[in-house]
This record gives sequence, C-alpha cells and structure tokens, in this order.
Amino acid sequence: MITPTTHVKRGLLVKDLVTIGIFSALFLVVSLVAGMPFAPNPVLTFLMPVSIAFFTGPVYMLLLAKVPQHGAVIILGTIMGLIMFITGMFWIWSITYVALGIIAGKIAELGGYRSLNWNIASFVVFSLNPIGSYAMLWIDKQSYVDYLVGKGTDPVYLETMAYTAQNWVLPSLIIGTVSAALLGALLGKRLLKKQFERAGIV
Amino acid sequence: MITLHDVTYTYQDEKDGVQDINITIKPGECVLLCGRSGCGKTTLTRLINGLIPHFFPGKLAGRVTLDSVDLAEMPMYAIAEKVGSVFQNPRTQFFNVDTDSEIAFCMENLSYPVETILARMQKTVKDLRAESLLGRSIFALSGGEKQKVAFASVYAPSPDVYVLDEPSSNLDVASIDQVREILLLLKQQGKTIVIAEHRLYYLQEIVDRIIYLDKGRIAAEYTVEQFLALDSAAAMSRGLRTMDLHKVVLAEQRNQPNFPVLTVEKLTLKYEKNIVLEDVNLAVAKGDVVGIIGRNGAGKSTFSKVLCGLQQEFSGTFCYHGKPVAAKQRLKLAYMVMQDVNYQLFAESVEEECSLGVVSPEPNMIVDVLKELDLYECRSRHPVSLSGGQKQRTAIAAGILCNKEILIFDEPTSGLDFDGMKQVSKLLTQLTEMGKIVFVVTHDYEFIALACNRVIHFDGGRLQDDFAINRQNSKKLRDFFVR
Amino acid sequence: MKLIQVLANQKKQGRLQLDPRTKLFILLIGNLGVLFAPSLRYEIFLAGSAIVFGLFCGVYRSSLIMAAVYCLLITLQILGAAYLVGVWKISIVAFISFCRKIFPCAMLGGVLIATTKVNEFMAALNRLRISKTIFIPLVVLLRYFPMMKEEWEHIRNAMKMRGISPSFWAIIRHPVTTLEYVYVPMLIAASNLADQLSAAAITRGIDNPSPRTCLQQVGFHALDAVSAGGALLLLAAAWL
Repeated sequence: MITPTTHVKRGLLVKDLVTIGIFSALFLVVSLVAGMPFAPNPVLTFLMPVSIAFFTGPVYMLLLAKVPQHGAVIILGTIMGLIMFITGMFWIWSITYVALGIIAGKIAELGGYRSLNWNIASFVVFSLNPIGSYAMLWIDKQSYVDYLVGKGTDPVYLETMAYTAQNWVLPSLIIGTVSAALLGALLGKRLLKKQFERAGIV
Repeated sequence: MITLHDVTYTYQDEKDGVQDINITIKPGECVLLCGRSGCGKTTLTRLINGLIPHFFPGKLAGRVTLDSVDLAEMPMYAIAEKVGSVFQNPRTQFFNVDTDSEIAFCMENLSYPVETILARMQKTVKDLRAESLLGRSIFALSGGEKQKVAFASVYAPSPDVYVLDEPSSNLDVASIDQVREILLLLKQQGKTIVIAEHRLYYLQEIVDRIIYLDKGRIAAEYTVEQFLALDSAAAMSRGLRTMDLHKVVLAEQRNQPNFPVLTVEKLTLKYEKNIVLEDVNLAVAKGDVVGIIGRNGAGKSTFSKVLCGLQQEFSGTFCYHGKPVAAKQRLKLAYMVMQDVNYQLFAESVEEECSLGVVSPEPNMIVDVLKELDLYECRSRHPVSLSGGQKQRTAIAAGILCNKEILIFDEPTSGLDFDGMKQVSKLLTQLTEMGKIVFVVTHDYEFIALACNRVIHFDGGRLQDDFAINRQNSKKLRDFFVR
Repeated sequence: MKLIQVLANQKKQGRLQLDPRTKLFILLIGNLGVLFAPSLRYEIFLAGSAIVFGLFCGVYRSSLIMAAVYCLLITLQILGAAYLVGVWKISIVAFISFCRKIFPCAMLGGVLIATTKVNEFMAALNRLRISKTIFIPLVVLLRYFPMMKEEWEHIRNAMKMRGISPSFWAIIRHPVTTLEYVYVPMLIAASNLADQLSAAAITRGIDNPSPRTCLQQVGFHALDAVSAGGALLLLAAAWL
C-alpha cells in the first residue's frame, strides 16, 4: 500500500492544509454573517458570541471529521486570530483565538480527533473566543466608574450598579455561548451522520 | 522518455484502477488516451504526473519512469519541474486570485530567482499570446481565459512533458480552438504531450498515437489514419465520440404538428446594467427540444435565469398557454438542471430529495418517477454519492415531482463519453414524451444533432437565428461548430 | 519592458506607500496605544492620528466617514452619560465608550486592507518566514473567499426553484431544515473543491521545502522608517 507522500509537517498533507484553508474561510464567513447583525448594537451585542457559536458548529465538526489530526484546530484558531488582528479587532480577540485553538485542539486529541463527543466538547471551548473581545469592558470598568464618579454620580449607587451589572452579564454570556455551541455542534453531528458520511465526503 | 512497465494500480476504494499497462512514450510524441468513462485514462494521466502515488493512496505495482527515474522515488516538486498538468475544470484549478501570481506560481514554488521568473513570464505571455490576460482578477475571466491562464502557468517553468486531463471539457468552441493552437505550439517545440479526452475532433492534427482503454486495460492502439478509418458504428460501439465532425449525422426527427404553448415577446434582458439581449421573440411547442447556442457572453445564461424566474426581465412578456407569466410564476413553472448538479441536491436520500419542496407528494407518484428514470434501485442512497448521470437524473426527478413544465439544461453533456451523451439524449426524449418543454444550453455539436429538434442562436445581443434541425439547415449548424 | 511596467508598483503622487510589514507594525502599535491610553484626550489623539494616517495612505472617503463615525460615538457617549439612568446607562454608555476606544485599531486595520493587495501581503508574510502550515491555508482562504458569494447564489437559486427559498418566513417556521438546506450543498461543494485545489497546487510544486521566491517585491524604504518611527513616538506620548 502506498500512502501519499506530500507531507508538509507532522502528518499534515497539502490536501489537509488546503481543506483547513477552505473551512477557515467558511468559518470566517459564517462568523461574519452570524455576528454582524448583533455586534454593533449596544443592547444586542452580547448575542454575537451566542449566534456565532451556533452557526459555526457544523463547520467545525465537519473540519475535524475531514482532518482528524493534530494541528487542524490550532491552525484554524491561528488564522482566525490573524484575520481578527488585521481587520482591526482588538488584539485580545486574536490571543483568545490562538489560545482557545490550542486548548480545543488538546481536548479533541483526547478523543483521538475522531470521537464526536470530544469534538463537541472541543468546539464548546473554542466558541468562547469572542468573549475575549469584550474583555476590555470588564478590565476597563474601574476607570469608567472613576470617570463617572468624577462627573458627579453617587459612588455608592454606581458601585452597586457596576457590581450587579458585572455579575450577571459575564456568566450569562458564557452560559448562553456554551448552550448555543452545544446546539450548533449537535447540529453538526446530526448533519455528519445523516448527510456527510453518507455522501462520502468524510 | 516516459515508460510504464507492467503497471497495475487500484484506488483505495478498490473499485477502479488499471491493469497490466505497458507503454513507452518517446520524447516529442503526442499520445491520446481515450475510452469510456471510467476506462482508466485519467488514472494513466495521474500515473504520469505523479499524483499517483504521491496524492492518491492505493496499491501500485510496476514502475513508472521519467527519463529512467522512477516517479515513485521522485518528490512531487521535482516531478512538477518536468511535468506540467492541466485539468478539466478551469474554475477549480487556479490557486491565486490574480493572473500574474498564477502564472508565476509554479516558478515561485520551485524557488526560481525573480529575474528568471520575470523573463519566463514574458516569454510565456508572448508565445501564448496572452497579453490581454495579464494583471487581471481570475474571477473576472471567462472559462476559456481561465484555461489559458492554466496553460500559461504550466508553460512558464518550461517542462518537457505536458499531461492534460480533458482540458476541453468545460470550454466553448472558440476556447477549444485556442487550446488547439497552444498544443500545436507545444508540438512544434518538441514537447511530449499526453492527453486524456472525450472530445476528439480538435486533436486530429496533433496526436501521433491513440491508445484506446477499456475497463482499465489497453484494448487497442491506432495511428490517426487508422482511427479516422474506423466507421461510425465501430467508434460508437467503443463508446467514443467522433474525431471528424463532418461525419456527424443528424438524427431523424419526428415531425409532429404542434401549436406553440410558450411564447416570448419582445424580450429585453439586462445583466448588471448592460443590455444583453434585445427584442427576442420565440414560440415553443410541447415536445420541442430547443438547443441554445452562442458564444460566451452572448446571453445564454441570462436568458436561462430569466426563463426560470430567477431574474427579472427588463421588458417583454412570457406567455404560457396564452396567459402572461411573471417571474414569480415562472419560478414555479420552470426548472434549471445546473451544470454542477451538486448545488441542487439537498436531502439525505434520493427518495427524500424527491419529496422536498413538494407540498404533499403522493408516494405512488414518487415511485413511478423513480422507476421511469432508472433510480428506483438507489432510492435510499445519498444523492451526492451517486454517479454524475444518476445525480443529474435525481435533480430531474425532483423537478418533475415539483410539477415543472419547462426544463432547461445547462451543459448536461460536458465531460460525458458517447454512451453518457446518448443517455442524456434519451432522457430528453422521455421528458418530451411527458409533455415537457426542454431547452438545452450546450456547446456539444454531436449532442445537438442527436437530441434537439430546433436550435436558437444568440449573437450580437439578439436572437440571431431560430431554425429546425433538418437536412437543409445542417450546414448552418455545422458551420457554427466546425472551423 | 512592458511586463516590468505591468508588474511594478505604480507610484501615485501624494500617496504614502508602505511595506505591508510596516503597516502590520503600525497596527500593533495602535493596539498597544489603545491598551495603555491614559486619558480621554490621548484616546482622541490616537483616533485622530489613525484617521490622518488613512488620509496619507490615500484612503480618503473611508477616513472621512470614519472621522464622522468617531464624532458620533463621542457625542453619543456624552449624551448617554448625561441623560440615561441605571443599568441602561452603564451598559449602553460603557459599550459605546468601548467601541470608541478600540476605534483606532479598526481604522488602522481598514487602511491595511484597503491599501494592500493580496499578493503583496502574501509576499510580506513570505519574507517574515511564515510557516507553510499557516501560509497554505491562508492563501487558500483568500482564494476561496471571493468564490463563496458565487456559490451561495447558485445554492440560493436552486432553493428558490424548489420552493425552499431561505426567506424570512422559512427561517421562522422551519429553522433547522432551512439551515440544513443551506449548509449541505455549501459544505459538500467546499469539500470537493479541496481535492481539486490540492492537486493543482501539488502538480506545481507547492511541497518544495526550500523557501519560496516571490514575484511581487516588497521592501522597506525611507518612508517606512519614518512612519514606524512616527508611530512609536505617538505611543511614547502616552507616558508624557
């Protein structure tokens, strides 16, 4: 039996890299279409990670099904991070993409990259990345509070509000994103079994 | 010099491959590989350009050597310097977004110095007469232009061997001429050419030797004279298309008196703010199979889209059974079978696909249509896992079950061998027997001669000609295709 | 030599033309500036500089639009702080303030994308010795991106003809199946493309381990040093 010899690195063939490139493009476009309606809206903005998590689920699951190797998710994360940086998103989002890419990759590795359930878990972790883009909001809370206090708002009132606002937003964002990611990945799993495996593209 | 010595190869899925291949190709020779679909000609091209074994996993026995070096032991990039490959689909073989980068791509990969790259690019552009293609976005090119860029990209590093896998598949007549010009140039330069093809007519003056494959084995070898001497029956029984277009015989058409059911009046169409077709008038009857011909950009696809209601007409009317039908109604009435059928397959089985989109499909009707189209056996299979012909029929079945009356086919025979083409022709006849109106957009002369009873020709922004297929008009039709 | 003319960068009058690596560097500095911004005054200064940079690079229309957007953001922030109350105040004003703060990054990113051609960018990455495992997927992404719109239109047309159009009502009534109808052909087409693109790349030597040369030339000039230096000075001003 002769196996293809156009390896580039550690088991990743040119064909795998091309596949990763194509699916990264899909991931990017789906993220844009899913996220753009929500991102600029101050009220709905926190729905952005939730929406992205749901819609990118099937793309991620199919990518891992086609390239069940070390590096697939890391490269996806790195490329998305690079693109986020170039398009002028704040650099924390890029870092979270790369970091979560590495972690999610490790999680998928636990299932040998072929276990659907481990891949789902991997995706759930990976999909938390947009939350990194909001990090500034919480880091910056203190200076903002100071600013408002400087403007004459009652400090006690502010502290309560800031405290309450901070407390429920972040956890519900995480829960929302995780749930959406689970649903998206499960949809991906369903599409894999029902369609893609039977179509012969996996 | 290329040799294949006792080569037997089976693909990983163990279904297809080639057996006991022994071929020697001398430098400067042009060899044509032909045969039915699945005969192994593409596999042979892959053995010569190294894709087997470097890209396609499988079982390989025997040796393939290029200038006495075994290809299995050469890395792909070394092979790439000596063997240039052009594939059938111009849309999916370019790797860059602009033409300059694409032409330079191979040389860049091979780490040639920039001065060399520039010099070679200049020579390439001059030799292939491709000046008008420089500095453009590949997405803005026509299919023929893309294929020319593909050739340029492969010509630039000046390989000794060219391997072409059905390069004319998706091209119109003018573009095929350009391919012929390029091949003549390569021949003049003494390059070795290996070409796998269905469409044989443009290669008459180029090939030296013709190898006919059947079920993975070499079944016969011919010179061009011997091949041309084969009569039509012999060619057809081998599943081959004709090499001499002058030999194409128009099929006997049934002469049915029919009144027009679909009329088009004073139709004017626009594409991106430009008028593409003006004042088109047409009357089509049930049972008509209308071939639509015209050069690239003549407005065939705009017409198809407007007919199906996917695009609004700029002015003019469509009337069906005497009543005017607007775009929204045409969407329900007409159906296009696309060149790439994959875009219109949505369900997980052929049966499911047939019930998609229909409000309440009668199970009996579905069974009937599946049996009629020879799809009943594969009704539980996923449509995408089927063969090209089966996929096409699945899309048609879905259209029939959606009660479509007008069907329009976009290049249904591109890449098909003779048997495949005959099957499509038979299918169209079946559809007319069901009372459907059929339009076919095609560049395939043999197919039109076999399947259509009428031809409309778009040119210069107008419906240039509208004629029935019969003895009197045969020369007119042939002149469009044969140069 | 006609070819050289075609391939050489055309230097337009009055436009700052920088090596993509310089632009990346300036983008990085911009990010650092946003991170270390000590005061509202500095933030406005940073945003202003980004807009001026855009104008220098020849991106006139977008820079002016962005300037208007920035003024709008400041106005909304001040009005919001003055007139809104409670949780609304915190969340909306904080969000607008956040947008305003990261504005310089978006501005610089936009300039980079508008002024850099794809092959210039890839040439710059090549000079940075980026690994093939990132280079190849990135090239493929850039190549596939423009194609996706066309593919989507084919799929949408096919859906319309079958009466399963991805319209608003279809999404409300059958969200999952409509999504399936979009995803299945899209992902299958993408999957098929990967095979063909790979073959086209391999038969043209992409697996060569030696470093690629690039037809497109990128290089540093005096203006690059000046721009980079200017950016660093702006950053240093944060500590003044």
